[in-house]
Amino acid sequence: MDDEALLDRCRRGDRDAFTPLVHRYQDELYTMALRLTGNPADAADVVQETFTRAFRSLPKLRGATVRAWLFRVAVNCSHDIHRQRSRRPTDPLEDTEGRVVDLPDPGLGPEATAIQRERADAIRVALLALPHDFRVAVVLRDVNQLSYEEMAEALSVPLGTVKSRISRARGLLAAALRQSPAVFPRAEEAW
Amino acid sequence: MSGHVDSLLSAAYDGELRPDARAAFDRHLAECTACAAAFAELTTAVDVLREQPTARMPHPVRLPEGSPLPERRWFEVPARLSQGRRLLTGLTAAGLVAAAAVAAVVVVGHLNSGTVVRSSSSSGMSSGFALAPAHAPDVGSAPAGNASTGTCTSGCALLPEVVVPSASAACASTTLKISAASAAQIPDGFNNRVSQDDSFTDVVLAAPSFDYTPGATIDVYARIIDDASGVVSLPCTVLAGPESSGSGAAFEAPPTATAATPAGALTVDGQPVLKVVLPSTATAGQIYQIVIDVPAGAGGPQAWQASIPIQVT
Repeated sequence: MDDEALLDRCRRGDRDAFTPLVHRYQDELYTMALRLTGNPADAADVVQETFTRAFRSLPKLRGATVRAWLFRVAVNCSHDIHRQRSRRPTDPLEDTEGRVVDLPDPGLGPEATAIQRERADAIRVALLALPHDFRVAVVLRDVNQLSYEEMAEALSVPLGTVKSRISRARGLLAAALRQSPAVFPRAEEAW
Repeated sequence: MSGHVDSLLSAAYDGELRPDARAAFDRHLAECTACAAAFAELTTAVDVLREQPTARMPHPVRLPEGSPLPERRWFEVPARLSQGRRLLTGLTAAGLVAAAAVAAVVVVGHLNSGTVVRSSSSSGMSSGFALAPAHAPDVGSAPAGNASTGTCTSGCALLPEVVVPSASAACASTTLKISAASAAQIPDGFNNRVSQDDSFTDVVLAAPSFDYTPGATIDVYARIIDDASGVVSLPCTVLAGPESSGSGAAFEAPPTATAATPAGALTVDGQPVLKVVLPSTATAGQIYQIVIDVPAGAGGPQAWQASIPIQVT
């Protein structure tokens, strides 16, 4: 059953119709929130809060696709939770519960696994260094692979703004990763 | 292609360049090592980000009790309203209003007072609220001010953003600033209601007081707020009805939205106005709900509703 059909059932008070939406989007949203907050516990809170708000507000959903709408709610929740938790700074390099996303591919050897872990760490550090709007832009585009149109809908900004934020964010991301040997091996060789 | 192509790198990565632009882009990269290196760097960085695995939500999502539909408190239409003038209620009303591309204001019955969520800032206007409607209705316990100039008589520091329209419906471009995150910036003493936070467009409704006497006129303010960007300030909208003096007609909402146009029309965010007149037959203790049908196109493609309670004293 597609999103719109489930949404329609939710609007008629069918609680069971909401659960498939949760299952369909919870991992996507969690991944987004993890990249935005850098903290697994916060990311889980974001997803929980997103679906709580969505559950209560679903009947008011106006026009937007369910997916874009959920991302919008989740982005706002991420922002709220990040602000609330700012008193508890996270060292993006620390060995957090983030192992859930960093589980090594069992098919990789030790060296490849180490590189994969280093890349994940480098990405986390680089993302957290981006200004919020740019981080959101590059995460929605390159982590969740939303279309420009979905992003415009999710962020309530014009298409041109979406494109310029993505462009700027990618440039900053690349610059931030430039010195990472795991991402750019040549940088290591040059040393 | 002259100059560097930094501004095109991202679009090129996404394959968004038109064929001719892409050809020029590729020609430039073949000649410009700096741009070629920059594009390679961006491509590598974005590819690495995209290769990161999807994470798994570590524990099940807990859903609130009940059904997805929020509790709605629609109640019986007061008996004093004739059947021919039944009020618009619920989603049907929203649909009608949407079709008419206007917003109607209807007042629906009285609530069980125990169910009303009363704003913490709705504890009366005795602290010096000076917003006096142009047509001199009773605004609860608010002391009267100079309606023609919007001058405060006291307590003006609490209301720096509020300017009362000089007359009738127009509100000019005065503003009442309201935080999107909360109603914290609504002047102290206002009875206000922010529609349920769905991280989407919200409507904030505010009236000078919670308590009104029978026959009183209630100035209802409204803002559409899009909280995507945080705090916003939108033009003041005084909701003023078709009646400029207390006939109670504003309560007897027309059966169709079109009948509310144009005199009683409420468009939100900018122009519109409504002044709700309490029936002189209202009795103390009754709680009325002023329901705003937000039209399609005002904050969203679909019509929806927001409401604010007031009590008859």
